[in-house]
Amino acid sequence: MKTPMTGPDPADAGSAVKLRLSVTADRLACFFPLLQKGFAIVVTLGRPIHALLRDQLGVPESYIETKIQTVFLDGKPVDDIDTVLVRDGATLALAPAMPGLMGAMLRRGGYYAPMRSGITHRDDRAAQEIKEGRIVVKLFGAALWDLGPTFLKRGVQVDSGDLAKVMRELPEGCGEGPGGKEALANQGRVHLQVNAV
Amino acid sequence: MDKVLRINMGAEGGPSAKAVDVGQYAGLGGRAMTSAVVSKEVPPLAHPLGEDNKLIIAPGMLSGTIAAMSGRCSVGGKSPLTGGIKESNSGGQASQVLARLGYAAIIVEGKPKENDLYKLYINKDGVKITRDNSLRMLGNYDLIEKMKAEYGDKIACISIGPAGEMKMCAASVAFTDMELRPTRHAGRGGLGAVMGSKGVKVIVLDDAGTSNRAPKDAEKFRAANKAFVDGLRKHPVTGEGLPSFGTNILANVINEAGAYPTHNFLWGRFAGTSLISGETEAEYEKARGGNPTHGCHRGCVIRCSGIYHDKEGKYLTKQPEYETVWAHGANCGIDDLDKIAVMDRLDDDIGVDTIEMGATIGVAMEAGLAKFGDADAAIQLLKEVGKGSYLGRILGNGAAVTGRAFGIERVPVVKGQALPAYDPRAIQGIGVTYATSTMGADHTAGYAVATNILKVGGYVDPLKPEGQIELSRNLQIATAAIDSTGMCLFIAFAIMDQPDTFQALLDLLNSFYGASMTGDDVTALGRKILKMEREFNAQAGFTKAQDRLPEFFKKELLPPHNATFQVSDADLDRVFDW
Repeated sequence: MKTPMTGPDPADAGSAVKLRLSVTADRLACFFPLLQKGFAIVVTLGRPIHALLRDQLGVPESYIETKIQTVFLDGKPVDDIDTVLVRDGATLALAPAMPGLMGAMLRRGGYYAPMRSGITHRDDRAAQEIKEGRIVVKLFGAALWDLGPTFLKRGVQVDSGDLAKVMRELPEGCGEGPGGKEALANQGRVHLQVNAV
Repeated sequence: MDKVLRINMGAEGGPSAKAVDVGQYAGLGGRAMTSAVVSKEVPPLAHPLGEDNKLIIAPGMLSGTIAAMSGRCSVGGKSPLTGGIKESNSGGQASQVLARLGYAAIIVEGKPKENDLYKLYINKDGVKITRDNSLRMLGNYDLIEKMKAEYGDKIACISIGPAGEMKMCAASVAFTDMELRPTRHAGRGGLGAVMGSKGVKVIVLDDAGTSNRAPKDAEKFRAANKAFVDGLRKHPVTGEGLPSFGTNILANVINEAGAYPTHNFLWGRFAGTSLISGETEAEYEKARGGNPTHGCHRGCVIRCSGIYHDKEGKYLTKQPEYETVWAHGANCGIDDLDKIAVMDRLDDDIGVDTIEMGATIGVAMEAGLAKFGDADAAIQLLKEVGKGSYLGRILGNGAAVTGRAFGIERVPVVKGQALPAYDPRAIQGIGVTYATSTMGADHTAGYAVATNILKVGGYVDPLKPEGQIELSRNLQIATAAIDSTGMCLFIAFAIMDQPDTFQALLDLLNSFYGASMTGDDVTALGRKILKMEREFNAQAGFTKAQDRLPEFFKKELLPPHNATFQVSDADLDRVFDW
């Protein structure tokens, strides 16, 4: 039994074709499904999640503390973002506090965290070499609105098929402009930059 | 709310109605009322579709007041789906209207001698029961249009669609929303079939000439309501996440956790989740002139619902919720939001539970009736239910019946009721609640209420292995109590984190009733309700053998975590060992 892949494989990110788009600000959200599914970026590895978010991705300290309440590393809920290290090829998902009992269970360090103890991220705390590498980042909920435009402006690596599908299936008008869906066919990885004008 | 309206559909000379003093049920609301009436008045061995079963509709303790979020309405009876006691609650306008009319409950009993359909019109002057077979097999949308034409648009309706008339086990009871559309449903447990068995197609409520219920201490009540609303608005979940994205904001995170049941609970992740998530749904709604931030009843300040338009910008349905999008989406391998929305509309119109139907279609797909991912085939299966074809009759009776009919072993049900959208192998704690709830598999049975605030059952060390048992028990107790207030369960997110908001809720109850309830009293109420429900189920033939998850959850590994359900049967049996 094989689980379907979700999100890009960061190992493929090096050969990405470059694509720059300029859209009106209200159309930035059209690209958000890509940020939900996951995009690859290059970072310095071996740092805890908290430091990576603050120092490399430029996420404000207050935002990390108050808004990013749900964190997954490789699909496992993280309780302590100050100790868990990010490794090459890892997938890091960021979200605010989520509703429901499940949301409460998944919240970092929450009272109900023991109810998902079977999948909680266990950090081995082994030291890692400080080096450059690629990770996949996923943004959910308000983190999409708050952090998504900055990532899109800076540039993200996504799968061309996913990009073409998003541009084809999102509301009317979002697939317009240079680099439309026809230009994306069979390109593999795409380094996508989207500027709001 | 000092009276109960008893409607005897089997009375000599035709159905009759009588308003009686609330009596022994005084002070009860919502689930406390429905479960009390079922346990005292329904023989546990009664056939769910027989004359001895009763359908109870009860507003909450604070419904009909200015209290925010107080518009949930409970429906109770013996469930044709589970064979046990059932309470299912809904948003919409009816709870507020019913409470303003002064009724603590409507109890529909007996059974018509002939196969006729009736409509009930209830206003401040009384009740009018009319035989109306022209309503037969109308979908909920057409039915409500007829009621509008007849009674005007200042009404609230409680109704069944064709599924309820055909007495299908997945049939829901529909409640109209603020726009007088039948979009809110007491979906779980097949109570629409009980309403159908009584021959009641629609209950029309008209509160013209009535006013809000008056609190004992109006000043304290207003202050408590303000504090309560402030608490909801300042919390990141109730003040930001839910209003912006609705409940389907959960899709991405549950998928990331590997707990998003996919292809009939085969996998814990779905590749198309980003295309059907709450975030994407909200963008569709904004782009098409719908609305991602909309309440399901007046007085709602969280506004987690919305309005979903089709590609042409025309109203299609209300914003499909997390459970619905999952059930008809990932569970069936479908990543097309528009087609999921079509199924949501069909569910509401036919009058079936979206969770049960999505799970049923997943089982049907496993049986080979359609391919996973084939949205058009799934829509066709739903239409079969609406038509009442032989196939539709099987599907409309839920996942368990469908599994039996087609020889499928992997059927995700507990006590005959389909599991909601969280795989218990990835999140073991929710599996404890699924297995042991009095209601069958139900994600809301043990919801997020602050056990650490309520101190239900004393302090629990959540780090001990038995912590999950204790937490599930305490959550079920607390949830039963909240379900009785008529408050939307989503208030739980704020009262969990903010003790002052929980205190505001207590202040609302106390200032309204002139009482002095504490957290301990709330706990006692929750325990009392669960005890009644457990005793009814035991007398109906339930044993600990029913407090179990299906076998495949213990045996089949769930990717990506390759987990199985590990909680032992002995531990499950301790949940109600208090």
